[in-house]
Amino acid sequence: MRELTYRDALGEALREEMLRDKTVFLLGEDIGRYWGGAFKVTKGLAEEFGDERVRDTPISESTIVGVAVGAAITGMRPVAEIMFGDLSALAMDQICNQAAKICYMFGGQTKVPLVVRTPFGAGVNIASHHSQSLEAWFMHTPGLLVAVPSTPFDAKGLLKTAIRGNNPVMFLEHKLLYPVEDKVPEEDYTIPFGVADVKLEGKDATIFATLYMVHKTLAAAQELRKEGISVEVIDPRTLVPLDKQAIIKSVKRTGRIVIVTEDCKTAGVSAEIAAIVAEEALDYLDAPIKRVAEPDTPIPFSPPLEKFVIPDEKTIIKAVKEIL
Amino acid sequence: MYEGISLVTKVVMPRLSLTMKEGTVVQWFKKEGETVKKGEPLVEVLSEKVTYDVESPASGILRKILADEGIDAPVAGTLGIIAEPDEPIPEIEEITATTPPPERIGEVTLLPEKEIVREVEERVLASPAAKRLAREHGLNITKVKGSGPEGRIIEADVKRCLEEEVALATRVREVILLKGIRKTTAERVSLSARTAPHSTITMEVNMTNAIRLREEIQVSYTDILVKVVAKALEEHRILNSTIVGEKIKIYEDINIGVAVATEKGLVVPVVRNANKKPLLQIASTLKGLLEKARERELSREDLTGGTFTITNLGMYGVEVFIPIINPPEAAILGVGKVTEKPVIVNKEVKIKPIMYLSLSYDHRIVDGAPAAQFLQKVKQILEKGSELFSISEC
Repeated sequence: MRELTYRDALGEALREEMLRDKTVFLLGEDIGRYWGGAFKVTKGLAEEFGDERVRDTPISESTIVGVAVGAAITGMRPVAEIMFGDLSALAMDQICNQAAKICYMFGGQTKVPLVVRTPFGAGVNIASHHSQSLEAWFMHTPGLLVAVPSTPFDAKGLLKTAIRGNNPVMFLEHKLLYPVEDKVPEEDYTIPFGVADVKLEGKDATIFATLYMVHKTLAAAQELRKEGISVEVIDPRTLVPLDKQAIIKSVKRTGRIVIVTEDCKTAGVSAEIAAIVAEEALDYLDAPIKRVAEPDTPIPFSPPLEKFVIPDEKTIIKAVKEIL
Repeated sequence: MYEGISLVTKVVMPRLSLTMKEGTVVQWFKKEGETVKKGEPLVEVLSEKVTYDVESPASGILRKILADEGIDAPVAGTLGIIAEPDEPIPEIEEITATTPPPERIGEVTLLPEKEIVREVEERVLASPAAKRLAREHGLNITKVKGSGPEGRIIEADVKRCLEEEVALATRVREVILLKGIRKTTAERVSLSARTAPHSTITMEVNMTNAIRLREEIQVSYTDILVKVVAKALEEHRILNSTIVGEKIKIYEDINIGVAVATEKGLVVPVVRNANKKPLLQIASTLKGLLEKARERELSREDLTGGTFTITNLGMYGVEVFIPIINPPEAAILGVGKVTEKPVIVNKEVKIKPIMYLSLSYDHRIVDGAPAAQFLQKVKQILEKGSELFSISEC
């Protein structure tokens, strides 16, 4: 099977959906013919589909999402891009108060088939305003679906499902994933929301990981294997809806869980997963739940400090060993 | 029929003790469709401590049995329904063996709940998974040695401990409910062993003449023994008796019971007035009784009224054994096999057919000497051709 980068897998999903459905259009800062997007996901699409369907916008995240919400409720299927996930804060009212609530407030008489794509994550030394992982904000807001693909295959399949669905989706990517290459089939496929993927089977401990942390966890698992420790790596692929049963089923088998996410530990995604396991699988735990997450600090600009706060293979390995 | 008055009555599992949660249906005394009277024993049930005959709560027809024999039913669970023949009866689900039997292979006995609560209060360093597994198997977790960080007990430690316990426990292949003939036998031999102080004496008998008689008129050793014992009892009446409170009651009738092994267990059909029946008549009576025993058609009359019992294990190669008296009788005669043995006759070694008799008697009723005299009489008749042949005629 051919290999594609995560970036190209996303671009291909957008192109195929635009070819399939004329109501699909893109909007965002510098996504058009002059720049192709900050991470080049939309490169070449303006040339193919024209400036009307691949729209460059002013630097106003609130406007981007506001326009997209309006277009969505009038029958279009917009895919908005926010250049950095941190800047979604500027569009928070449109995302959390409008997109998330409209279907409910109008008693289901109108729908918001909207996708907001945005990258999170640290690792490229671009400081506190461009490096955060804020998945928990959206996971906390009823009415939004939250996708967190970690591989090119998942990215393409989930983005297609997001575009074809009738609910607002926060499609959260990770900057370090864009160049990651992996197998992607050429034929059309979709991946349903709410179905976790076991990225690696194992028996000694379950590791729940999302986005780029899936890759760091798989690297850590290789190291652990050399010492005879077998871990199971579960990638939820979507945080809302969450495949709780996959997590619980795995914990029932291994009796141990390490939760690895890049967001801050306090009230983060890891807190929610830990709570679910404690509530629904406590009697199967053979060791305390372990969380590997970012300390409650802004992401430092200094490369050594940034490296220090972001979880890596070593911290994951240490956490696993602490509970074995 | 009274319009609007329901004539349907449920038979339910009674609560036989404060802690009883369920009981076992041991035996139904009535079949579906049979008539029952209010107050008559209907079904025997068993809880952990006692058996109990549930009396019929109403008169009518036992229309439906909802819990078969051997089934465990919860307290107040409906076991059966009594109603008039044409009365519509409610549809109640049958109680089946869906719950596992209390004893299974490798099962570890569950501790009382109190003890488990106390364990938790002791704050043992154990993982929730270890605690759950211990709780599920009723294992006292304080007995488990922890191998986790800081000595924490983990699931694997509990599993290992359980496996060790299972390896130590005696495994049960199957559980047979004590019921029917087995139960009756168990109760009766216990009663006998508990109440009648047994003493047993044995004697060797030369069976040469008995064999002759047996071949001549085609009867069995048992037939001959029934007749001989009955005749001997005529002279030794004290062994044909029973003890009732402070009195020994000596029977006029000499009714000889013969222990018979059947597929279902031991039964003792009775040859009435055996002392007055010719041997051939005894033989034909016994033959009929044995057939009935095999077909399980023995009537109440066939099985009651015995005053003395003969039990023969000779056909199984047994030479001598100590029988238990069939209560409330005074004695029982055990019969061994007939074997050719070297014996001294007139200072010469001869080969003779020898049989051992063992008499167990209730020492409250009779002492060793009179018991021995009775046994001697039996031996004497069996050995003395003239006497043996003459009693067989009358």
